[in-house]
Amino acid sequence: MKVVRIESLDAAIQYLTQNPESKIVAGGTDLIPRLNQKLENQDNLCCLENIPQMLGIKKDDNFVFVGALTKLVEISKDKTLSNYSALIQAASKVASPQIRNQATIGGNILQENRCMYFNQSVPWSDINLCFKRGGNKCYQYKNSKECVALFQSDIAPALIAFSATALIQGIDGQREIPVKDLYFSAVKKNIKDNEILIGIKIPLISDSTFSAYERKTFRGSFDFPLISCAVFIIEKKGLIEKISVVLGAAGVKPAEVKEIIPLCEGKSLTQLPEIASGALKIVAKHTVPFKDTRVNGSVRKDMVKTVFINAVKNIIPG
Amino acid sequence: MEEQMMCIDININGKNYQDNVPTHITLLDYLRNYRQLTGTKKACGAGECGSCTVLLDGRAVYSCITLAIQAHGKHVETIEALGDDENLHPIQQAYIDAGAVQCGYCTPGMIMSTKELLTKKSAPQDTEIKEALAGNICRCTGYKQIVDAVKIAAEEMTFEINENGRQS
Repeated sequence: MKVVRIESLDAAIQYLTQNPESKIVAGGTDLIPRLNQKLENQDNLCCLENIPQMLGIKKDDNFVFVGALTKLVEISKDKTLSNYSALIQAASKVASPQIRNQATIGGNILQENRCMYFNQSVPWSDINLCFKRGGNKCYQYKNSKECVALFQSDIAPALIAFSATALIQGIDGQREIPVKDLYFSAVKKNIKDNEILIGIKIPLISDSTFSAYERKTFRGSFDFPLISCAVFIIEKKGLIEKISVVLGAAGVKPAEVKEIIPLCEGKSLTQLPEIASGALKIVAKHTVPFKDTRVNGSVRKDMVKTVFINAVKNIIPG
Repeated sequence: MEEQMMCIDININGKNYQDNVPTHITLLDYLRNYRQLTGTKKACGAGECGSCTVLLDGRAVYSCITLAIQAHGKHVETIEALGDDENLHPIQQAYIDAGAVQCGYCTPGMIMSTKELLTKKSAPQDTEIKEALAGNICRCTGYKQIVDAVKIAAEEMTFEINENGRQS
């Protein structure tokens, strides 16, 4: 295997253009375990280090820019981001301290989806070749014509709730897309082989905003979410001016619960818990009955109701 | 296919090294096989158990899922930096005193996570200790003795700092 270490954005784009099979390593905490477990084979890795355009957390008049190589531990402790409670809560809940010390925000939101029929020891997955391992079957849903592996990023739902955008560098320049549009399917993302996510732009928010991120896990820490929910609210004179509810680990990509918007906007913030209690079926509708070694599909649909209610409780001041 | 090599500059436990290594090897394999620092243990290989924990520029990381070339230009601290048989570090002594070592395989990783915690926080609360050690799994002790060991080490290290402060 060939691994190159690149410290300049131009050189990295050039290398990826000349070596389209090369995979990017930022923190490495998503890809390297799969390589060690021989769940996938790569002959060529491009290790990005110290690229100035991809580092740091900077605030301007309209946005906070978070470089894609920013470590999760830096996000959870950064004062510039202290208003973005949902983001800080999400960043501080990812996996374990060691992972948060090493993993980057870019890698977190571009991490591979997971499924118990793929992320398992090789002897088993070699017998049961699923779509993700080059087979022609989905063991999760027998009639599915494609992979339905579960979206597992904690950070992405929070970023989407804040209407964050992704800044992507390609050979012909930069493009900017909403983070929610980064995801096409369980195995395909809206980023080409020779493009690099260089950072995230999060719109500035005022003091009259509230946000929270809640998740359910089998263990108290060191775990992937079974289901998660980010809620963001802009308040004006005691009324809800804007609300956004985004679910993670609910399907192949993050799910925005748009039906909740007309139920809440214009209503008093104090009415929110009552509105939320009446909207549980709507939220559950956005969760696919995905089973893994820990929970079955129907339990996951029930758990989403709890995380949504907990996020709402967490958001109400006082 | 010829192995791709890279010369890494690395500071391990206070000493500088330059080593020509295959670009794909992990920091863990480099430490164990090139530097014979076998105190850092190899177990899951997937960032799921914590036995390979080392400090990279002062932060605990899993060396089994870190490439050696990612540590180029950085400081690495392993369990060997702490003490030896005759002269144990207060954290190592506390793990013995509290009965926090049984099979011992998780211990070097646990101790390195403890080291990061106590460097940043001299008197951590129970919840802070549990959070700091959440990335290290032990199948023997049940964790209570490990939390006790961290508290003993914290007291001992604070005492040592005060003693040294008085002397200087």
